[in-house]
Amino acid sequence: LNTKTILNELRKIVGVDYVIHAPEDLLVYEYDGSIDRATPQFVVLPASSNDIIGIIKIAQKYMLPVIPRGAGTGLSGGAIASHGGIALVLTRMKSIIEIDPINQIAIVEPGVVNIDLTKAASKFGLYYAPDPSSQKACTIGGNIAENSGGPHCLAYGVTTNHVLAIEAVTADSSIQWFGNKSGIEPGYDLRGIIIGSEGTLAIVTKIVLRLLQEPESINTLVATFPKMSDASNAVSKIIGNGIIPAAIEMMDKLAIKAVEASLNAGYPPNAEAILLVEIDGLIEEVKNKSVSIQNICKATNATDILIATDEKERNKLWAGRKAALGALGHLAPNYYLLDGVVPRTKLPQVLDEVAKISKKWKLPIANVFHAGDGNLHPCILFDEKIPGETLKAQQAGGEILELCVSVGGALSGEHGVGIEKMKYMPLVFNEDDIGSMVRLKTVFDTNNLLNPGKIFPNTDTHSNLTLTQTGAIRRAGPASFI
Amino acid sequence: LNKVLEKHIETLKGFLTPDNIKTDNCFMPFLSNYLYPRLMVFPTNLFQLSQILQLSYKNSLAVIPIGGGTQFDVGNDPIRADIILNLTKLDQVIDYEPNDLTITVQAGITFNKLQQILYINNQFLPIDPPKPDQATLGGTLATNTSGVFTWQRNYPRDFVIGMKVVESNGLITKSGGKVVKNVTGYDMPKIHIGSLGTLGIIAEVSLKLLPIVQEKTIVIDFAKFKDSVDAGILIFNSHITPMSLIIIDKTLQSFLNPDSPNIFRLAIRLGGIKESFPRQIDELRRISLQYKAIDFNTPSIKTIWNPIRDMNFGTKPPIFMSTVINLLQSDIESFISILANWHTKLLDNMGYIADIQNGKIYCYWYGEYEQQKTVLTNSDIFETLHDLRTNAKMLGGFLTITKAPPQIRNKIDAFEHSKTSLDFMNRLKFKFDPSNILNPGRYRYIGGI
Repeated sequence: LNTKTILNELRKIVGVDYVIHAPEDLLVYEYDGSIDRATPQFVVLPASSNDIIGIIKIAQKYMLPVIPRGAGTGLSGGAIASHGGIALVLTRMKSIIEIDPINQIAIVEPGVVNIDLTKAASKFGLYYAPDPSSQKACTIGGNIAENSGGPHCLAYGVTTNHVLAIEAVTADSSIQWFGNKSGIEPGYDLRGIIIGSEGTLAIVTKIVLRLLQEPESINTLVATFPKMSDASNAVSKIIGNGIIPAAIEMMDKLAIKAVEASLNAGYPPNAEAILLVEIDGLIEEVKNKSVSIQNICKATNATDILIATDEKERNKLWAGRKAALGALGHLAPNYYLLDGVVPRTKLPQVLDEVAKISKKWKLPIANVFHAGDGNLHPCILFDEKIPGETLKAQQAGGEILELCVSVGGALSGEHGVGIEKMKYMPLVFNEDDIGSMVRLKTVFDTNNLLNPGKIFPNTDTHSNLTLTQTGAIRRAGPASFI
Repeated sequence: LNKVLEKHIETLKGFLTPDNIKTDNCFMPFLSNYLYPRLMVFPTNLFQLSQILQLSYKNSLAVIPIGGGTQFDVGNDPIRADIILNLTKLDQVIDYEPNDLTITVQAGITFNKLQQILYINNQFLPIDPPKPDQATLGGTLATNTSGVFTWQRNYPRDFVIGMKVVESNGLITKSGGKVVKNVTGYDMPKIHIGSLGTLGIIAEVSLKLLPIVQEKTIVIDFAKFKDSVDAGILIFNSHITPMSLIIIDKTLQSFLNPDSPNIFRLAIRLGGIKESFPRQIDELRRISLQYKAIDFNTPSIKTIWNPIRDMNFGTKPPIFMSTVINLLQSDIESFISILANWHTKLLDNMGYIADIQNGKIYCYWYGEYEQQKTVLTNSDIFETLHDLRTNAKMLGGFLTITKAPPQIRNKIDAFEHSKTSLDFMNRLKFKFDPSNILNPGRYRYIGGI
């Protein structure tokens, strides 16, 4: 392989400054927010869809994998160049092309940071609903790839529910629109299949998104419980009573301890579990639901209910939740974060079992998660310097995923399969199911050029990839993730 | 072919009981008159469904899946039809855990049956297809049928969380699951929703549900369309988030509500808790005054919404042709003013409903087609449809024909495909139905025709 020739061809397209090749510079792109690590041969930062077409052509010519990447905050190894190749970093394509307040839509490039869109839309009283906890860093393009969620997806749905159309460059180096901003076009919903495909089907270059009206009223409360099972019962009762709040987040004792140690969010430090509940909408709806939720919490043994009275207090309550994972870094040198999802009524049972797994492997597990959706984020704390402990963490994680699947759940609620969960796919899907997905992949990418070695279990192993999630999270900043 | 069919029928008799195989009178009113399928089968479980497709695949027999048969006017006619695959006996609830707000059902369940089961637990699925007593879940998803009733402007695709599909060769595959949030593997249900049964047969579906909401309907009458649409856009951009927000034009209004004819009626269907209605009604009243409304009422719900939902099937007036035009909300007014300046005979018999919430204009041509033919030639009709389509396109929208007499529908594509992604659609069809046995021709330009 003539590295120099490829380098020159790439430079011709994006300019010398936007091709990274020196080994020390490539290091930054070895990671995302997951446990895996691998070095791409080239990092290229295109400025336009035309640049991308050119890069894809070079990749085709030299049979180099192309790994699309946004901010690198992903949590399943989706942006890791496990097969080498070109890391296609889309962060330069960050313009908000249009905000159309009358039709409540926005057209953006993939490198736009999630929160920047909401900031721009707020001038018109609008916002973009999916809000991954990494929203201060993560990009819309990455959100499309992972079909990202976030705390407020309980009431408003995940990324796919907010995307009207996408422009994408495909592996045959053509560019086209999938979907239509005027509504659902006849024909197959190719937009729908590209969303959540973890960069394996196409490189998204423009996105038409739905915006929502900012709610008239918001109410945020934190309820404290003496037991985890009381808190999860409260969640079941709230949903079972026909109340769908904007968000219901749960944190256990360990997570609360970590948060209170790193920043003072005002959570009761001795609580066994807390629920952070947010209700939004019309004034009457919010008032009515807030009262019902408080009553349910009291009936399920809540000892204390804290209600934010203004935006400042609300932000403070959320700050603790959003910084929870970063804060856990204070409790242990390393952690392994999971993303299993279970039917909501199974939460009490599953949390019990997770506690047993923690005891069995003698590894502390913190829980901070989207309880309303049944989307768990068990966080296994360990120290990679202790021989064998990394493996133990992985084995405990595997048991938790098996547990989620056994109660009718799934491997991932919002982080994606990536490299991390590939080997667990057969827990959920048989060969025919996976075969059907792989067939779909070949519709778009016959030569497996785009993000190879992800999602589908194969002979690849990643045992040689080291656990460096903590490092990756630190690099991305403290107020990020889940 | 007959020999193949005879043998085929014999094999089917090996695993289907006699009442689940029909070999006479299988002609369906929605099929072009030169297509006479020889056979109708009713699978009662997933295994039978898989067997039927395996056999059809082996014998290259064209399979026409149907549910309640209410949406056959949507799309182009099949070009081959050997077997009618009737899915209405696959109508069982597989798993319902009300406290999870999710349900898994077989695809042949009718909407009425499904909603009744949910209603017992104060829940519902916010999809409201026409003729819910006949319309099945599978058929509604395959045609992506969605009317003027939506929840947070979501389409049927937004409520599907998992699916089991039987592919053209009989392979049973599943994707998604029973949890409300899931990114484990590709989001395969998306390609089947709206596929008109051309990629696989939707057999089982997991859905996310909503708690039942209270509702209230408000109608505001205007003398001018411009005022009604301006008021509508203002509501669309306010905190009021209705489940339906439509304008019924003068013509249809005179048929639907003869008591108050010749006005443009803005109809709003609020959903939520009843405590929130008085303030929303006050706000709507303010808007109605601002735009010089001539009347303001709160009628009962059923009287207004069901006839609109079932318009294509109605008799007052009978509809011989209909289209849906998708547009941005802000372009609805320009489109209607273009129409107002047209002088074509065909528009004399047309009424429309403008769906502000979802950016659609539903056009209905009323009367009896046989009578119309005396004043209108088919070329008049083609020309009008073509012009409407061109105008929709100029505004960035698109037009879909949702009902037309056979003489018309066989000569004009029901859809307008965006040319660019057609290659991918063809490749997808080829990978999932290589012998083109599933509903061949329903998507005219997909499937290698």
